[in-house]
Amino acid sequence: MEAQTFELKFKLNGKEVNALVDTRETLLDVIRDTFGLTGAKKGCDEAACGACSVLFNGHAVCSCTMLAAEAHGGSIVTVEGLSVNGEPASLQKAFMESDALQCGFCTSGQIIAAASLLDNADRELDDNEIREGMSGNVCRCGAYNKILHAVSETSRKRKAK
Amino acid sequence: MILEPFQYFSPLSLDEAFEILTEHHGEAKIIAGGQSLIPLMKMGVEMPCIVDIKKIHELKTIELSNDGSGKVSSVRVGALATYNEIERSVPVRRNIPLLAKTASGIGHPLVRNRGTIGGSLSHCDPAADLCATALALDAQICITGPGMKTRVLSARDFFKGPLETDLHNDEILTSVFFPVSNMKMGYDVQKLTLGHGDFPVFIVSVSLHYDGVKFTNAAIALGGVGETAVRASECESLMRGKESITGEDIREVSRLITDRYDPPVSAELSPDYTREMLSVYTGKALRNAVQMVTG
Repeated sequence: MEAQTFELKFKLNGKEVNALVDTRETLLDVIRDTFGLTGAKKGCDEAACGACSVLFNGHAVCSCTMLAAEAHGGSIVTVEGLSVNGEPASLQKAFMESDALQCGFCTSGQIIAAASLLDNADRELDDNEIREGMSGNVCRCGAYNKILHAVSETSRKRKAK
Repeated sequence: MILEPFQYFSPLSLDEAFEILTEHHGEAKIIAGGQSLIPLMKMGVEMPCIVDIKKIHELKTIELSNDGSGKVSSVRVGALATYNEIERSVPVRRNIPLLAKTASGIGHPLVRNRGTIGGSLSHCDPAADLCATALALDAQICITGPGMKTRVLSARDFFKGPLETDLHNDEILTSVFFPVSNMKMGYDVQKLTLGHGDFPVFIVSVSLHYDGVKFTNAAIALGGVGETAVRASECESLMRGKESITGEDIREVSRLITDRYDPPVSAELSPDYTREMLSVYTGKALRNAVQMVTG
């Protein structure tokens, strides 16, 4: 069979975008190669590492295990879309302040998973809830405790507001 | 990039979906959350026509369903309900807590935000979390075909073999009914995985009903020990009707299960270890379930 195409239209970091994609392309391929947003990373490419995490309609998903066509009509936010007026969001600042990374390859996925977890929680989360909520995101440098600190601090500050 | 080219359809209604399924008879594959299907496609399994049913909104509902007299008789979970939605659903948590608990333990949150109950049951991996729990809870699978012809069958009759179900090429699994009990419930689900969030090596799902005097129902479902998830019926009958289930009863059931069922052979785990763990996890699930009932 010949390659098939799909007229894709969706919201990417708040802007309506469209592209003619190969039906075989994953959302991750399209975000990185068509739209040049390289924050989401290709790690395992099989939903086991979380480096490709993006927000799809407000929930973190593995963009490597989603067809680009499946995003049609939806809203995608990548790590590039979290900043506010060019300034890092408070969650991103917390990652910097907590020194929550070493090599940084998994960081965008970690931040997206944390954003999804915090945005969908109605209260301050305890450490175990954060560990479980972030358990799809692997950090091979082992910065887990500092990542936990960054997310827990952000959760505490949001609750305090 | 996924290896083999395919056509992609995204119907907005069931009728439209059946038209596509009929037109591409035998070649069309339904995609729901894609958390099993996309990995298969990446392995190069040919799927010339993909029908994405996620735009059919009526398949997303989770609701209480009444019998004729207006009494709540079951919870109807739409095929497209994600594990995350099931885990958070109030009707599910309140009435079918074993289903909520099972959903909350599938994979990791990134998978739970995407994977669906309909996808998991129709993929029919013998060790899938929801296949075992659907059996333990006597779930009824609702299937719709062209002309909106609907049939309902038990999970037991629906699962046919590894990655094989009773679903025909032109049919869609539309919802799953979980019967609601007014008895006191004890339940648990335990599984062996290689690492946190990995697919189960095996899984044990237990559901007990207690009427205040005796255990009126005892269901033990096992995943990963055969061609499909199975009910350990011969062990259940040892507990059903009893006024109490003792530690000795649980040890006997665990022993019987390791005698009768073969946990899978894997490169990472020795058969002796896996067998021992099947006994340990069965015992743990039963103890937790019994304790919920008797305190």
